[in-house]
Amino acid sequence: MAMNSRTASPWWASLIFAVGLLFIFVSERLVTTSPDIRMAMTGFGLLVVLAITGARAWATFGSRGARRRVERVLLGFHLLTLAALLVYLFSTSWGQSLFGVSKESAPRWSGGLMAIYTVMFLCSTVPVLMVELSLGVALRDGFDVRSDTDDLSVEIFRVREMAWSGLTIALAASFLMATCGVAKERNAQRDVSYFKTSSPGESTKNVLLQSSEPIKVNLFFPEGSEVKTQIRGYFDTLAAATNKLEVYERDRLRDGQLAQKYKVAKEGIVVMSRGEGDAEKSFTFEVDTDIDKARRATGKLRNLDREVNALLMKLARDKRKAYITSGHGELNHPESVPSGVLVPVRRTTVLRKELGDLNYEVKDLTVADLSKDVPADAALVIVLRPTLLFTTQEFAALDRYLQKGGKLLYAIDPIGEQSMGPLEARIGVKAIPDGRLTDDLNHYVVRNNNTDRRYTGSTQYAAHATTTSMARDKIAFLIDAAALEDAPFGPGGQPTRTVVLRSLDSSYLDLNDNFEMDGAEKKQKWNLIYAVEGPKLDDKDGGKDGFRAMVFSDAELFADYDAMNARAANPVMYGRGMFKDVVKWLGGEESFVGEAVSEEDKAIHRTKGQDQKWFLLTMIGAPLVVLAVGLFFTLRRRSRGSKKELVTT
Amino acid sequence: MRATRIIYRRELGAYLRSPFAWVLSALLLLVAGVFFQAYALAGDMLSAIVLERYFFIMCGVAIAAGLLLSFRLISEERQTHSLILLNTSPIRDTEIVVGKFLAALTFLAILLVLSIYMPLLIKVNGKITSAQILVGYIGLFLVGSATLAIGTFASALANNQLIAGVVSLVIIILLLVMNLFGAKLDGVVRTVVMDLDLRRTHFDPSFQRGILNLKDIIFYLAMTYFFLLLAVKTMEAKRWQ
Repeated sequence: MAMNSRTASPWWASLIFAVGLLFIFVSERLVTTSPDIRMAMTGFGLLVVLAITGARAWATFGSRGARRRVERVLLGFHLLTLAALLVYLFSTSWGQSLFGVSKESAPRWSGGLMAIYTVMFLCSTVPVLMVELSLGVALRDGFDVRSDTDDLSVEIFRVREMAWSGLTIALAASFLMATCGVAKERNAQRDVSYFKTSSPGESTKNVLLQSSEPIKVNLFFPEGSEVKTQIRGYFDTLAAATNKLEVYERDRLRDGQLAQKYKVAKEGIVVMSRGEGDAEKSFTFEVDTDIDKARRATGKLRNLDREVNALLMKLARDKRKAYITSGHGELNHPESVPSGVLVPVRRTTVLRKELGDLNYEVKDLTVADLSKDVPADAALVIVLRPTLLFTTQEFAALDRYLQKGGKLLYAIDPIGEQSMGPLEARIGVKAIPDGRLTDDLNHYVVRNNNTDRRYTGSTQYAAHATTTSMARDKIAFLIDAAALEDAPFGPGGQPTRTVVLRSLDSSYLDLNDNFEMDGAEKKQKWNLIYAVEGPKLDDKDGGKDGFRAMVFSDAELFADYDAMNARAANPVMYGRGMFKDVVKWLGGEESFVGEAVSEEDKAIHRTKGQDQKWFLLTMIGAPLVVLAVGLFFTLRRRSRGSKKELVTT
Repeated sequence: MRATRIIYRRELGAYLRSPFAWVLSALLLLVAGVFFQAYALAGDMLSAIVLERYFFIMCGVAIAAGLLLSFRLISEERQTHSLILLNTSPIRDTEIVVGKFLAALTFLAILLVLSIYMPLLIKVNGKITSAQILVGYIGLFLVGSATLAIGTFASALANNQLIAGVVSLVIIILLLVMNLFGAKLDGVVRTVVMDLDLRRTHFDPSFQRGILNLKDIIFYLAMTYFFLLLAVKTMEAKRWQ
């Protein structure tokens, strides 16, 4: 770029000028802890800048012709730098006191001046840099002030062009900085990530439609709250769909009496109530009033429908009692597992929470209690993977319970006791002994060895109330499941038996526990979940509906632990609402079934087959296709080109 | 404008006819695929997190692609002495720079579009929105555009392709670590330095997560414009030699 012209001032004058400026910058911006060093450095830098500007002025006035014009350009920019330093001085506390700027307006004063001096610095230094680059260094090693010779060696036109270029760049940088600054201050944001306040689901609408009287919703939120707008939108949609909802926006202070009645002590409370006076029932839940917190993964907005659904269930009917058997080494009671029996320890906190959401009070049904009878207030009895066989009395108690129209959820497991005793004849279902469901094609990759074959997946749902939430393509995955089969019914009316879930036909029962398909093992669809509905009871028994029972071939479905995503509960049973549908069906509330809408993120689960396809596509397929197509067209074009050349020749 | 169009078509044609461009595309897709499998799909596989990790990877790929596509744009012409033909023809430097830049940008856009199957796999199996993917790709396009502009400037500055590549690499690395520098500073300088970061300030917290910020779009457009202006001015200055 340099043309190596002779000028009146040397190249190093600009360099020293830059060093002086650097001293000022470092001392004013970076050395903030020691005032003495800062003062010394700023003083030195200023002295250097003034000295070089003085020398430049001397060179300008001492020379003539083109040399003088070059120096004049450089001097002009140096003076602009000095002016920028002066503006900077005015922006400091000294400058503020000089102009009597108040403390309140000081930030605006210094902010405005900062923008000005930054632009001035840029506009004065960048052109000098450009001019110096164009002039070069070879012939400019000292001051050479002349008034008569060598004028032709300095091309002022080039210098001016370079200065203009520098000025253009500096002004463009200033303009862009200002634009970015304004854009930052006045930023407009649009969040399109997978977040939205959940919309009312079918289940919530159904619960509300069954309500005999309207539900009132009071929203205690500050005025103009964005969270309130989101929640209001949800409830308005629900009200329009059901016509059973009245929504009110309340101010905690203005509606003090109401706030006191519902014990609302802070903002962000939603009160849902039903009935009037003494018959009024109300429940509340809290939502963070900060939109950013409310919309987070753990925030309420993503699960608003689930929250409302649970409250509506509580408002719609009285609390019921669910009993979970214990004392037989069950999944929920690992302390009772007999010594010598090795079973993985699992928790069932999610199960209990889900039952609570469905307005069930969860109680343990101990050996002592069950030996006598199932409590009369039991709306549901749950048996999760007993590792000890129930006694004859206990089975008899459960059988009596079913005869009286009881509701039973029974989950067996290959690692537990698989016999259901006399219940097998009552329900018409039994486990296939000693077999473990295994699938060498459709299984989830967890440990990357053949033990993964026990993590089987299936989409073979029957059309049943308990599978309402499990729409098409929602894969149930089971961990080390058994298989079930029909058992002959005992005497009495014929129950209705439905296989709710079957395995894929690539599954087999591993009888010798070696994970391989060998010997007499065969691939077929195996029955995994049964729903059984007993005949209507006689009039002498109250003419009630008959028993309802569900038998699962995998107790792990009800555990908190999820092999795919250790932090969450089982995605099929809890995440996608199958458990709630099951309990609603067992409780005779099938009209409430359906998915509560949740906007929580979903883990990507892939079977081994899918995993291989993904791998092939991303690692080999796509790059190879691009390469092949590209090279094909390149070579074809080249061969056409050479043919053309041949014809021309 | 006509000259820009002619240069654009010539350059784009050269890309599409060149095995280098296709090999580069396949290589970048392979790299993206490897990281997608090894990093994005590792551990916690919640779909939004996988998509974020994917865009994190692709941002690096877009920067690498921008660098590789741009460093030869002008320096190659200079090295093969064909720039003199352009300089002596009635075409302005702006038209040369813009034409070449737009051609490289178009090729980069094609490359980015070719990688769309990866987020689509996440969408089919997870819970993400199309808009989230679109916003991520807008971000990738803008990052790529800024990187291309930096590379174009370096290419205009250097006489040799290798030097141009090194210069643009240095500038890009500097702009990628601005956030780290800024963290050591205080006050206004800290804000200014951090705002200059090419990725951590303007891509990671916004485009990568499906958030469209006007300030980030303006930043990348400003960077692109500024470095293209520098390229033009450098070309003009080089004429004085």
